Amino acid sequence: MSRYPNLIQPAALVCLLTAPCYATDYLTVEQAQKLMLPKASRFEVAHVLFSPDQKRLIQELSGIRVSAKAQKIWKAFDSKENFIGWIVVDYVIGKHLLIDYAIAISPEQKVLDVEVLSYRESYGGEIRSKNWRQQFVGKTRESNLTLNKDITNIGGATLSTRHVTEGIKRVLATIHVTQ
Amino acid sequence: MLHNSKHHIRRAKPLLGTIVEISLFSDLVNKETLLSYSEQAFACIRKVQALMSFFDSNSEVSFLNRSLPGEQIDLSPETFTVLKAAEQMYKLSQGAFDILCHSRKQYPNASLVLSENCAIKSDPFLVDLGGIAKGYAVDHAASLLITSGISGIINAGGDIKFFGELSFPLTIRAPNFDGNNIEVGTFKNCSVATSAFDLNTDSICSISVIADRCMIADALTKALAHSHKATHKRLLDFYDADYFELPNNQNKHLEEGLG
Repeated sequence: MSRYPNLIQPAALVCLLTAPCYATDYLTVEQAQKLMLPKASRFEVAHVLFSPDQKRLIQELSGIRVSAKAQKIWKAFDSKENFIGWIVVDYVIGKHLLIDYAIAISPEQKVLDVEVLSYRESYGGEIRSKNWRQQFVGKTRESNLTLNKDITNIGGATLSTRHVTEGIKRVLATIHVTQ
Repeated sequence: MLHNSKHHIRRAKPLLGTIVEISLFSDLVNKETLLSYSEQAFACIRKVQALMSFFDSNSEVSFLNRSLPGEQIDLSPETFTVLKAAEQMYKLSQGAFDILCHSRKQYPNASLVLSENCAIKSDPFLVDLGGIAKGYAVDHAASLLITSGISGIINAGGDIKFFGELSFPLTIRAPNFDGNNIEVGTFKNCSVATSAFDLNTDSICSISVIADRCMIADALTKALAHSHKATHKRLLDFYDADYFELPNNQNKHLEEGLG
């Protein structure tokens, strides 16, 4: 145990939190934008306030309920003013968690990258997994993302994966319907 | 954080079936450099995922799973390394750690012949590296950061590597997700992997292993959980590892002073 001198002192183990909340903030939207679409020289706001018809269409296409009234979307352009993709900021919410995340989507409407912006769980944030999840890169709306099929579930903390998976599916449909 | 490093970054991505978090600290390089290091580390993890995912039909593991018995399959050095480590862990744990999982019942004497970055299956079984490759991905990503002389943490859903000159505190969530977090101490230059297991209510249900390599720590949590106490010491000695358990009923355990 000499390598880990501070490990498991019994007294140090008594650390019980009565109102547990695990919260972490990662990148800002601006930082995520630059990292996910590094070739972009500018981002144009293209936020959408959903009409009832758009909501219905997104729900039909994705099979996921749309609870938000709006979606934060940016269109990215390179230095030659070519359109190179979208950045969408979304959140997923479960009984015990809230995850803010950003998705980079190509002009062909494929997921290029996903970055978690913040993560909050009211009962603990650790996610354990015995399996793997399919990478989101290259996923399209038609790939019909479903749990345990395209994307593996997380053992012991199923909420997080299911909600992020559903969120990405809903965002792809949102881009298809609104852009 | 408890550190006063001039520059630090913390970011997370959904990868490897979980959320992979990378935190980097440095007095010498700026934030932009740290971000570019983290990009490289995430790229490393993506590569391992693309090679070893059980669910990606284009992965090497899927290719191996589709191969016929007797067919020689060329593998990347990465996948070969993990398969070799899994083979050793299987032997030392007397089968408690097994990448054949569900196929073992059907093919009890199945073997995977491994030599010179090639594999040959004895039977039409499936392998799943889910219990070891996540740790390997963490090691792989950390290896390029370690050489750059910065400190940090890579946490892939409980498979954690601490590297560099700094020490970091570690909190383990109670295995029954009752909201209790257990601070277990501070760590430096080592890996800690934690796995929760659904055993009966009186049993230990979270095991954490401390080792140099995260791949070994990851696999050992499964090997220890599924083997008799008698083999634990041998396994831990061989890999120069330590471990601790968190019981299901945390409060009861603490009251009894067992820690």
